[in-house]
Amino acid sequence: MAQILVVDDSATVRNEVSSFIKGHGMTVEVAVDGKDGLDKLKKDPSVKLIISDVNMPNMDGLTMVEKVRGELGNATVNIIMLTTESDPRMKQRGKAAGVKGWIVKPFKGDNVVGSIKKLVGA
Amino acid sequence: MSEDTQIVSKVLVHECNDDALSVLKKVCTKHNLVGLKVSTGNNTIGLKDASNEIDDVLKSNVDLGAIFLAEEIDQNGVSGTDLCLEIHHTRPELPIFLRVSDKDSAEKFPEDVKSAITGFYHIDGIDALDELINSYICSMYYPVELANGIQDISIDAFHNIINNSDITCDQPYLVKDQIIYGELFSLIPLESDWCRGYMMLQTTENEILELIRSGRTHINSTRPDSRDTNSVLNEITNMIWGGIKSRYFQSSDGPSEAHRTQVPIIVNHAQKHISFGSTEPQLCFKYTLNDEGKKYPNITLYQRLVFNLSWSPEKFAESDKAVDDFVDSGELEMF
Repeated sequence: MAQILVVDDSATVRNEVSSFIKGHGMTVEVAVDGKDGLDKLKKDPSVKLIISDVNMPNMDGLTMVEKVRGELGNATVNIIMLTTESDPRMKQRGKAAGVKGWIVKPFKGDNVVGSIKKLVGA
Repeated sequence: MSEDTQIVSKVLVHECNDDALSVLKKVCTKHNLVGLKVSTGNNTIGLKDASNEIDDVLKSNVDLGAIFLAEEIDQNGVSGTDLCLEIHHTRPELPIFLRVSDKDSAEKFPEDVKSAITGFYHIDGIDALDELINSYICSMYYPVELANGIQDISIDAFHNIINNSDITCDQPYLVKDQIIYGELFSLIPLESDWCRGYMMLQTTENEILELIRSGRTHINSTRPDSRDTNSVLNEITNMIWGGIKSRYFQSSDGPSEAHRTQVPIIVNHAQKHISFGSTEPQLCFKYTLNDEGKKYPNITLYQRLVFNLSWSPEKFAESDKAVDDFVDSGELEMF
């Protein structure tokens, strides 16, 4: 049972973000792409927050979000995108799909830890 | 990077005539060329050794824009015509300029030599050499602002992925070479309505392994393997790509489907060559990452921008909005 699911194809980012989250007393699960993220969420629907990259192989992050809200019918999990993308059109697509927030990489944990805790209810 | 940073190109010079050398120096200065002189003309190296020495330079990690040779036989019995065929066979992408002693002598060379030489020039006809340089080395105009910006974005990305490192970058330079440095490289498309091509990062696996072992990345492994090195290079590439896209492509709609042409990319592992189909000069950067604690060896990363599919620098512009976004990276924007 994890509070946060980190979805990124880069092990560097997965390690960085999950270490930071664990260091702040929250539980975390990781997934290597959108498809894996969807599978992990199916197995553990109690996840409170997904932090996901956009550009990933097999299934991109925004497609995953659309499937979380559509196919899985999960309207409650909070989703934040952590990506190098800052194109407003991309953000608009994310917002329409049900993304709650957007972080342009790099991940600066101290800047966002308060918001993450709030979204998780920690 | 300072505002007066220029984009240079390295050229290999094998020239024994002092007058010609003096002229070449002026021409190099005028065109921002960095001349690397082959020492064969000034010592006791024989024909075979002269050829070997140039071959050594070509096989080293010196990215070149062109080679300047002279027709005359030097004191060691080496002439440009002796060398040009061999060089052209090894590195056909490199322009070779041959200085001739007689203005009209270009026609007298055999066909194979003529086809190996990109252009002939005479010491009294420097305008012709200027034209050759403009046509073959400086044929693509790269805005200095673009070079500055890419360098800044890349250094920022290195700092974000790699801890405790001093990062330096040589002057950006143009190359015609198509050599692959090291064993590990990444390739990512760069697509906008004013440019289409690729960014490539090159390094050696061992250097990245050392970096991981030194604990300066987010990979926690005492026995890192190739998956770890790939991951580090992947994220560096991704960060730089995102920075470039935000800063330079955001106001662009991207190429229309009708303009989405492609050409095959050929990788020749035996020759350590990669060809993008185009022979236009590539914009390159060489970064050195030094361990702040000075305990670990330096790491070298080469970055190449290859706009082989489309290039319209007159449409190049920075996106002000994107610059704002770039500054705000790392902050959570709630919807």
